[in-house]
Amino acid sequence: MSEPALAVENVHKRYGRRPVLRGVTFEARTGQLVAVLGENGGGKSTLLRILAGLLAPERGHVRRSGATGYCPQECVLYPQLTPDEHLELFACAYGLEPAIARARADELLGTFGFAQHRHRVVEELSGGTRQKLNLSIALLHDPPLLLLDEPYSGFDVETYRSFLAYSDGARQKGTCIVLVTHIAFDRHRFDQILHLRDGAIHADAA
Amino acid sequence: MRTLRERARRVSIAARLFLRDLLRRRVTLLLLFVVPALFDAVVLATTGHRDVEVTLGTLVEDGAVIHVAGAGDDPLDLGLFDNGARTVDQRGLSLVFLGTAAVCFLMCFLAFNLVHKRRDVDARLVLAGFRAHELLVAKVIVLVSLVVVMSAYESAIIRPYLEPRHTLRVASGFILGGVVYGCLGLLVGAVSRHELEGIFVIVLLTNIDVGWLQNPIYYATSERRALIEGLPGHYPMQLAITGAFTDDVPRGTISRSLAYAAAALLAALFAFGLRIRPARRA
Repeated sequence: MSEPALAVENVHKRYGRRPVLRGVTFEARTGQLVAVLGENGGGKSTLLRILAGLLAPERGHVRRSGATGYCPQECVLYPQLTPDEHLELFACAYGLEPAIARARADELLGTFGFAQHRHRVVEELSGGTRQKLNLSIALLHDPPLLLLDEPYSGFDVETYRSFLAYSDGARQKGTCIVLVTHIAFDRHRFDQILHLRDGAIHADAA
Repeated sequence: MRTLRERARRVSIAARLFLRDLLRRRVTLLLLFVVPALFDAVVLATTGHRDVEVTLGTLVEDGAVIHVAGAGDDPLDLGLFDNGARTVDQRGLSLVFLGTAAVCFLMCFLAFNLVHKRRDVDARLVLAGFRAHELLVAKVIVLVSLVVVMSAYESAIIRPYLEPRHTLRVASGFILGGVVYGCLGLLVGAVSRHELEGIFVIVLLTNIDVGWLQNPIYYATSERRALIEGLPGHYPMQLAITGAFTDDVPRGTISRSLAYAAAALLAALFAFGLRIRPARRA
């Protein structure tokens, strides 16, 4: 069996005295689509932030086999920059060659249907369009591991379908996608459905 | 391992886009251009031409007896050393004094905004692969560019009302004030948890330092001149005022101002790095 794309072992996290994650353990392999479900305030976003490396757990380990693309739940963007400028800046951060970055940006703008807004500042965009940019930033460098926190929040049906098609294509290339959501549509698409309850993972074989 | 050229390219891209992000905020342009003009308009409306005696601290030679305006001549003062006393036009002094204060306050505030308001997305950039120091250098480039533009603008708008003895020194005083307080603004932005506390610190510091204690009229009567000389705004203010009204070259203004700026910048780099670095690099 291949090396897991993501290995999470006994991760604990608390905020003050309140434990949020108690011994979360799971693996995700290349090409898998994994859903992490749970109630509001159950620690899903905290788990994803730990997996992405934004937060440190009190105990436990996270091993990632390669580069990661992280899409936070909230739109974390520069309000006065355009989608084009965001993609240029993040392409620079990822170390992408300019020509590759431009091609990739064009592809994502087309896939998620917001190319007509590429020169408008984020402050002027709708919530759904901002979320498309928020997600595109995570996908820009085509990483082998994607950590997406409610990535299709605010999407219309067409864009949701575009995202599903994109994720199917990415999985075929071997990308592992870990998706946090509080509602599981299309359960049959997921290779693993993990329920985060009382700070621990309870697997639900898909 | 990235080459120096590659790092410079990354920093220049970040600086260009951070500058756009800042300048597209309408309130920024309003602050940069309207506030200095407003300060000067208030001076012109409320202050007339009359001679006032001031003491310029950086011109005081060791051994000199500080002259207090209106106190009469000290019989022990043989006039062997420069006591820093000068007679200047009050309106001109107010224009230079408030001009320096305006540049300091605005650059401090803009620097705070550059760091504090974009903390989350800066952290996302660091997670994606930028280094914290690369982002901060980019923000310093933006800051210094704005300092130069603002200082030139302030020098230009007071020109019809004041002919400085040395225009370049006055502008240099503005620039140094902007750089020192800009670096302090970066530090406050990196350290403050909440926006309101950061703004409060900026308003308090700039008002007390360059808005009050650095007034050379106040300096002569102060019993704690060492305290005034130790504040960040002292040397930039002295450079601007001596440049406007004297041919004297004040001691240590540039080196000490830059030392202040460097210390604030190093502290800002440390605090900024702590705030936005990922827990673990990907």
